[in-house]
Amino acid sequence: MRLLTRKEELIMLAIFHLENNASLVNIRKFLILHTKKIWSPGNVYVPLDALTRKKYLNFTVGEPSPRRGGKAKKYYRLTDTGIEALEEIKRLQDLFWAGVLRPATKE
Amino acid sequence: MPSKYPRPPRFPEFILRFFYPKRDSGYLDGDLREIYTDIYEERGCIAAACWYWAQFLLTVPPLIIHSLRWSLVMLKNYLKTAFRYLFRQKIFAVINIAGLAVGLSCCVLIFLYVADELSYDNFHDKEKTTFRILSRFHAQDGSIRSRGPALPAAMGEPLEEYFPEIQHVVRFAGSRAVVRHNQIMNQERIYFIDPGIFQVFSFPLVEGDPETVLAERHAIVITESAAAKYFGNDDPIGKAMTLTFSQKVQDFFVTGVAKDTPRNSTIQFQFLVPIVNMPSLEYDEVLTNLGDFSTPLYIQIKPGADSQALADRFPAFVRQTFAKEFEKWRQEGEPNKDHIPVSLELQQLRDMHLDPDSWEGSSASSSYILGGIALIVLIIACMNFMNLTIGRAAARGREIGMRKVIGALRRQLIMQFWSEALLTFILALLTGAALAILFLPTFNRLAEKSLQLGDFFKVGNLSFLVLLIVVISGLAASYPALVMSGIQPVQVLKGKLRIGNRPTFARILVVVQFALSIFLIISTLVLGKQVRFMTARNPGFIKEGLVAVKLQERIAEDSQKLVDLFRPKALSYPDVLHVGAQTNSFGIGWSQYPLEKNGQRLNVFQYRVDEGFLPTLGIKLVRGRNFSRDYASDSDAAIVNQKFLERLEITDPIGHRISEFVEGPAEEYPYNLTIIGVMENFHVLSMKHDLAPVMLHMQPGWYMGSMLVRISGSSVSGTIQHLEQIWKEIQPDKPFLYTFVEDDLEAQYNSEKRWSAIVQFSSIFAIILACMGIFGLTSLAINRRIKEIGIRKVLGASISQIFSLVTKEFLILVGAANVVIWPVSYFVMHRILAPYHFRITIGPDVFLIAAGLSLIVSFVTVSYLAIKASLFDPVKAIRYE
Repeated sequence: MRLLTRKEELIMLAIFHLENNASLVNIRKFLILHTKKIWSPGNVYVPLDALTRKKYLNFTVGEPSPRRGGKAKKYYRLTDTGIEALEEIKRLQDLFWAGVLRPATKE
Repeated sequence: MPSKYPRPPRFPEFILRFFYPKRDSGYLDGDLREIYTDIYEERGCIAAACWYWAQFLLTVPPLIIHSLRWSLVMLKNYLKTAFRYLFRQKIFAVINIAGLAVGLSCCVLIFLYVADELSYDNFHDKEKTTFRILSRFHAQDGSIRSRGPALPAAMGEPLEEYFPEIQHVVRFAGSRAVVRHNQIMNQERIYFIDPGIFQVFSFPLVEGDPETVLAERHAIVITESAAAKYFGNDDPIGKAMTLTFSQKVQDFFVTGVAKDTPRNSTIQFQFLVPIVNMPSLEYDEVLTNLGDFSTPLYIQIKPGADSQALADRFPAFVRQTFAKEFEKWRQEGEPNKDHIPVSLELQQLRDMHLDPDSWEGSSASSSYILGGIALIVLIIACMNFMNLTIGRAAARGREIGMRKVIGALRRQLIMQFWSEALLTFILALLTGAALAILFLPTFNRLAEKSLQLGDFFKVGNLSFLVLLIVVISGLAASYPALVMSGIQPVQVLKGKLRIGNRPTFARILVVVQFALSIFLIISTLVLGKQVRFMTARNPGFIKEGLVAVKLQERIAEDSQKLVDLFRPKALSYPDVLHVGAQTNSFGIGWSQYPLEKNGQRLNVFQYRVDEGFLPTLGIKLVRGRNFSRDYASDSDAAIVNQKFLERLEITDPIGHRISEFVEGPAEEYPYNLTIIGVMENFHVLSMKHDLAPVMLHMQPGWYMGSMLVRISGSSVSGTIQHLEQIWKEIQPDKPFLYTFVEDDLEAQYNSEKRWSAIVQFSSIFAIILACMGIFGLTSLAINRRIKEIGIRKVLGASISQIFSLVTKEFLILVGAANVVIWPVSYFVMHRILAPYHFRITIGPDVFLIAAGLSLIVSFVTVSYLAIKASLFDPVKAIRYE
């Protein structure tokens, strides 16, 4: 069982949504936008690094740009293992959540 | 063109870069920068900067604190283990700490000595533009015959005229005078000085204006201590002091009080008077006579002037200024017409103290010798440390193995042993500092210094101590740390540990330690023997009960009159046997006259004496007769010693003139003297020098500087009091200054005595340290071999066999050390004694004594442990398994 933390889960889902644009800066922006919380760069980087080492993510190196002081950036992508892990956690959550909430009444 | 994108604040950016994970540092740097740019574009420069700084402040300090906390935790653990080991192994702790403390205290004291030597004359504000001029006298072939800070006082004005870039010339013409204020009267050293002194040198004035204080002719500036001596608590300004020079009496009025000259100043003074007084008080031509090389001279050049260019013009200056003077010298016998016998040299103030030709300087070699001794003692102490630490490693093998198994890196183990060493060294330094403070008065006496406790706490000295600790602990601890951290845990846990069983290295260290100690012991013995030999040797006259009284008269007739008045009064006292007079008492001063024969120059010591001289000293006449007032012709008579005859190859001297034996103008001194007697040889100089040719004469124009009184009887002080009374009757305005000739002669060997005492102290330290070392090593060896000893005893070995088993090895090592160091010490001692004309022969006795001493001391040290080991109950040793 490949359990993911909530933070890891959010980051991986953000990468999924950002598709080919999933750099650290964009991931952070996406997270701030939707969670309405401040995410420090370190807060994003540490799970990214851990997930990469677990082979849930891989990355490609992008072009350096003057905006970044001439430094290249990494674009992250979900690997198949990563997607499997996401699916697993989703299933688990569905299983655990079943019956907890009253079904949403339609308007 | 500046980048159109903003740059984050440099400092946090720079620091943050150290903390990025290595593999992603470039990307993270870029990410942070991009976010920064975003914020900058959205909300402006300040918000962006605030954000960036916040990132920095929120991450870096916690990181640092975190890593520090963990290193402190480890350090605490290291210190704890270190303390545990120190307490558990008290003997080793004491040996290590005490040994190192002695070594370090030597280092500290000698460092203070050297620092003091180097601090001389560096307190003058204008030292960059102030120089001392030295004169050099050249022989015919251009080589330097003599060099020194002696120049004619008359050179001051020509210098200022010739070199426009010279701002001040300061001459320090020394003289002696009796200084009197009311009832207080003393003979003091007076300096005739140029008034610019307080503008050139940084000698602060307590009272008086530096520019005008010596402007008046009869002004005198005194130091605070001189003011206290003569005026007590009264204000000295405007008060009169009476200075009695040999010929003239003059009142001076105090216009200024200077702070006492610093201890580390080459220029020392108490009384300063303007140099314009010199002709009237010394001799008339003193400020015009260019032949009188006797005055130290300093110059200050104008700011911006080039001192090198000035020095380059010295030869031309000498040729112009001394032209007439050299002409005179040529007439007196300098044959070569083009030879320039004098040259000048410019010297920086800070170089004065260690210049060997300085009058008040000291030699750099003392610093080297002391430094060498400190190094020897410190090396021995460090060797103890290394030996014992490695020896103990065996016992710690399990700890090291465990640490490694748990995951300690080699680096961490090295750190651990190093911090242990550091702890030992810090404890040793504290003990050493206490020892140094304790020994400071002794050291001051031996090294002729007045170092103070406060010198320890100067910033430079403290930082040196810290540096010393770090460097020495780094060096001494690195070997044990490397060896011990290299232990393989598997071997340890299998019990196959080989560490600590490396006797070759330990043995070499023991041999070196003992060799150094034996060297110091031999030096002590040889120097002590030489000093005893020189002081005990008969100087050729009876030195006991001989009192030298300073006459303080520079005029010949006056000095003779004084002696003639004094003699009958003194002789009426039964304990006074003889009274004589001479130019200078022995051990205090002398003058030589060069006589020439067959182109060979022979320097002859000349003394103006009176008829009481020979009987007072107890020198026997070999031929002829003593001087007598009954013969008027005796004013042109001379008595010479046997050496004089021998060196000039004279067989029949009596009744002949000196001019008959040597070349020279027959009517002039000393060629006109007729030899009336031959006396036995006696030592004019110290035993360093050979017996020299001497001639005594009674030429009436020569003054006598001291009176010799032979006293006998038990009450020496009573006799002295009696002599003082007589002196006061006939010479009320001069103090009664006397010395014992025996003391003066002994004082000639003060430096030898000092060195011999220094070497003696250090050899005691060295041998104690070396003994501590073998004590530690023996006890380690016994611990290691305790089972072997036990089995041997069970199998029937006797106590004496066990005893010899333990002691044999170390005695062999000490023996080897002796054999190794003997030739070296013989060679060194031979070199040291070479300059002494009368010296002991270095016989086998010193070597045997040193060998015996080192063997006995090491034997006693080891035998304590050996006896303990041989009486040990074997059951206890073997039962363990």
